[in-house]
Amino acid sequence: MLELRDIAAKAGTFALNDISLAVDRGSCHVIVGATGSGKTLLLESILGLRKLSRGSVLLSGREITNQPLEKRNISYVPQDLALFPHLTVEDNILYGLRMKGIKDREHARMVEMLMETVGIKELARRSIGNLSGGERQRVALVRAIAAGNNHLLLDEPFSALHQGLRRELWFVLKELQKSCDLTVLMVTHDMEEAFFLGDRVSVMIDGAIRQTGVARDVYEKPADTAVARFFGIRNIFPGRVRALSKSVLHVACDSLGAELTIPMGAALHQPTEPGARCTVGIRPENVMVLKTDRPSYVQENLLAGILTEILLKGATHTLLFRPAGTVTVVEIEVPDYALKKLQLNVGDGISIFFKGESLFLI
Amino acid sequence: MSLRRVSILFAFSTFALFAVLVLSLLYFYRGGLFIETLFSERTLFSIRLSIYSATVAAVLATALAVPSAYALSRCDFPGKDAVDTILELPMIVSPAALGAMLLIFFNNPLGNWIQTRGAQFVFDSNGIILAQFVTTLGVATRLTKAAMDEIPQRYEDVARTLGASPAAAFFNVTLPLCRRGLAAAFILSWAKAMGEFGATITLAGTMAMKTETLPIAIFMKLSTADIDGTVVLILIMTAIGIGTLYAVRMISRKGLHA
Repeated sequence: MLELRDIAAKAGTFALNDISLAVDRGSCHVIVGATGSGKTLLLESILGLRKLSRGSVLLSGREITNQPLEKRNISYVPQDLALFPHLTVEDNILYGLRMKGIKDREHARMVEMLMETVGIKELARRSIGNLSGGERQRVALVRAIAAGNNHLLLDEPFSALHQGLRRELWFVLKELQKSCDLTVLMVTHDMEEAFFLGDRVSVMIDGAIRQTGVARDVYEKPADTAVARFFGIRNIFPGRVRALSKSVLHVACDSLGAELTIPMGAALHQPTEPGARCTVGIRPENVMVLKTDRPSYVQENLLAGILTEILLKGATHTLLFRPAGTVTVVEIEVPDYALKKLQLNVGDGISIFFKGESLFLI
Repeated sequence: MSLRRVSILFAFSTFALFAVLVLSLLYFYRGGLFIETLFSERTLFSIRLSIYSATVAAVLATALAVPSAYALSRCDFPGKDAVDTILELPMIVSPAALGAMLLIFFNNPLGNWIQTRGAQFVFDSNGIILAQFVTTLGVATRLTKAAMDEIPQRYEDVARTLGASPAAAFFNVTLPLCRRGLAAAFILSWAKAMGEFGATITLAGTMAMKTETLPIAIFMKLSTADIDGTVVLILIMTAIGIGTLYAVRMISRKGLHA
């Protein structure tokens, strides 16, 4: 288990503020954040490459805050991978074992098995300069694991790869993590990567962790508007709690010209009394478009208005919708087949519908 | 005319300038005298002394440059800027002034003590090595630092996460990665030492068959108006210098690639 307690560190004028995290043994924790949010600085602080101004780092309950880098038993794969260009693939992979003076046959077999698992066994004699991008990533991962450290820090290791190869390597990493019982802390700016790989996900904004939780919760219930905006959710509307019962909240959203019914559990911090100000949000892909005015199954959260724009993208498309009597724009994401089926045109009068459980409350 | 052509023209102009200077020597060239001078005991001594002293000085300068360059490239420490600036001293102070500084040093109590208890430097062949070492140390350190600056610190960091000590990471990763830069630092230090004159003559003097390096031999021939002999020595020195640099460049191109 890797534990960070109230870590603070500085790099020039940028600072990490009171970061606390616990990465359970054998799990993958992904910190997702924009470029410049402090992700790399955090990893460097954990490794001891940056001096902590306060806080501590614990590995399996043992404090390692002041340990030299080589004694921390944490492997690190930086963004540029830092494969040693003067060594062959095999020499890169065996570097850690050689430095630790481990020569036994069991480890050699383990390394061979690792290379076979990720499909780089036949590359053993190749020089690093002759590898493709995907092969380099695989070598870097195997090198980090072969050193015998069970804790692994990954700094956007797949960011330089194209989408297809990146997805392929996600599966490789998942496989390695499970088979080698690795405790992984990874940072990335790619949300899809974070939600795919992370057992738990943290959102980092401006040097602070704004939200941590299981991937689904973080995805569905952003803790604040900054997190929601980081996830690209633009459907965020101010509201006021009009009434609440045991099972639902009724929130008046003047900007939408509607009252929304939201089930309890949609917010991390529930408002407790009528009149409380709040913010309602919904992901564009969770907004339903209806051509009929009101199907029988829709009882609430239905808004009529005009389709103001259709932005064609590829597999999915973005529609912009303006509720009647307002100037608010609601963003809707629809799959290509749905758009074709609905046969929508700009200026059409349509209705949209929010499923209660898709709404989140901040 | 395109930029490419202009730049190539300038490159050839530089080459032509030096080529004209070398070719003009042939006006005084006498074939028989060349062989006679080349194989004379005095010339062979000068060649041997020059190669020996330049090699020792360049090895010492490069060996000392490696740890200094590492500190300047990788570490922050008080006085770093002062150390970095003083490296240029041999370039801003004339070699004669540098030699005079060494001569003055060996005339103060500490220098005297070194001369009486340790090795003799003033008017001695040791002085040649010392003068060449002092004039090349700055260049060797500057070039080695430039080579190390090219190698990202990240390599050493990753090596250490894999279990290497700081020293092991340096010797196994950084040093092999900057070996071409190190070779360049050594070669240029050697070349500079081979041609060193001002500091050498000031500290070691002009004693035939004792402190007579090739540049000093050229100076001595010229001072006795022996133009033919001077030309021969210049040609020998040019051939040794260019030949060695070219050979080492070829070797490093073939064998030192990462």
